[in-house]
Amino acid sequence: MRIMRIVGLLVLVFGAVDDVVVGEVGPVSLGVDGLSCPFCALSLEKKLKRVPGVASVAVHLKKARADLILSPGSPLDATSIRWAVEDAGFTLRGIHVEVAGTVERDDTGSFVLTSRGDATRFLLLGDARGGPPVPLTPGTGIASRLATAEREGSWVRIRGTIRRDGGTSLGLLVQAIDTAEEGE
Amino acid sequence: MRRPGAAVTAVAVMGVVAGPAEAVSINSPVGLTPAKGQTIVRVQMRYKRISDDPSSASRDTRVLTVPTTFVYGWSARFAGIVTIPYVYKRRRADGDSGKTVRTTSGLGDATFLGKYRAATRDAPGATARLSILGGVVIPTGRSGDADALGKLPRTLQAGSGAWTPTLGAAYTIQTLDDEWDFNGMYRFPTEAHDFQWGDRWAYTIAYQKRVWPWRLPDEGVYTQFNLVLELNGEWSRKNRDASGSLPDSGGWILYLSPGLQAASQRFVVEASFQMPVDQAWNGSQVDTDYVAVTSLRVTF
Repeated sequence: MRIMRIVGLLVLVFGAVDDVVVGEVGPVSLGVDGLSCPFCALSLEKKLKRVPGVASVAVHLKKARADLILSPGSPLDATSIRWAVEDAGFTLRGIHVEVAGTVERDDTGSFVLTSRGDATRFLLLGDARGGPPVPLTPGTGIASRLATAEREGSWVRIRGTIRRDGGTSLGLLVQAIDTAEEGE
Repeated sequence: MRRPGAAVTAVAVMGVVAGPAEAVSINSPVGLTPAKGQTIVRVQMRYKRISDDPSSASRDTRVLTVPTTFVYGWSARFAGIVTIPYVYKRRRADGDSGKTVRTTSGLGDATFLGKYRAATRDAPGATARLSILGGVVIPTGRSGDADALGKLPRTLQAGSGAWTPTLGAAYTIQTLDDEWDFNGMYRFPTEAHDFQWGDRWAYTIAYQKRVWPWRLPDEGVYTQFNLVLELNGEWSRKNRDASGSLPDSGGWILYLSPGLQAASQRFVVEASFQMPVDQAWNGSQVDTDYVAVTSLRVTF
């Protein structure tokens, strides 16, 4: 059953959203558990700098966080980021991103967002009571704003957390939506 | 008659295996596993004085050990540790023909250890890790040196002459504010040249507390200073030769070891002073006065 769900999600993310509209990924913030001394931070910093597309890294011990700036047009390689954190000996709690782009719906009716030039695609997820996040579809709470953005073709800026559902797929658990002007 | 026995070797060996890691206590032999591909080099200087000789010989032994340790993270969980020590030993004693001074120096026994992080529990700003260790001490140090008075006693040789398998475990709880370390290493020396060192058990309970910065900066990575307090215990079984177990060997010692540590992203500089709070050696052996330790760790 779990495998079926994973396969379904992979299809949703990689198979059904080919006609996506470009967007852009803003600063990326990693929640990293286990960072507990200055001597530990260097290995994490070095590992993250080797992730393709990462232009700079800033580790903040007190906040248990590492902030990444991606090179313009570079994809958000969530899998490599997770490996980098694990190779450094820590646990990735979450990847928090801010993405600007346009919203469309895939073949199943779920909302998706993609990124500029690199085809990073996000399946937009919402919290489900008592269960794992589920794809956002019209008529579900926060999704009404996505529906408006989709209908008007306007840009939105979404803050959320990458969820690792499906292994390498990028599900984005939506935490906030702002309207944005194109090119902003 | 009392003579320095297992204690000399015990502390020398302990210095040899004092492996570096991200934030290990100063005198513990183990700690957190380095990152995959990370290299850490640690150079220590350990100076030990053993002079509390109740006999008329008034033996005074000084041991300077400089172990250089290289740690490499083969994976996120497994690290290889190689330690190559330089050893200098000097013993002065009163004899029938006056004072005698006997010295030796050179490479000591090299230690090869593997460390596997068996369990991890991470939280924001904190981690708890359990590691198991295994390896062997190889007799790379000379064990047959002699001077004008004849062959040096075994405890004055730079090397033990024996292959010594080693097993151990370590548990570390570390937060941004403080750290607890619990670890133990057991050694099983093999017989060499009709002689066998006694098994040895060394353990450490260590606590370190960040004292500066008192309040953590909200952003970035900082250099921090820690106060360290350790209990380092060693126990050794009697040595054996062809005649059986040797009465003037084996015993135990417990050190209380206050220390200081400065840790930045790339360097750790630390110092510790090991004071014996209790020691009980079998037969006639000289008591330990103290061990002074300084250490530098660098990560690449």
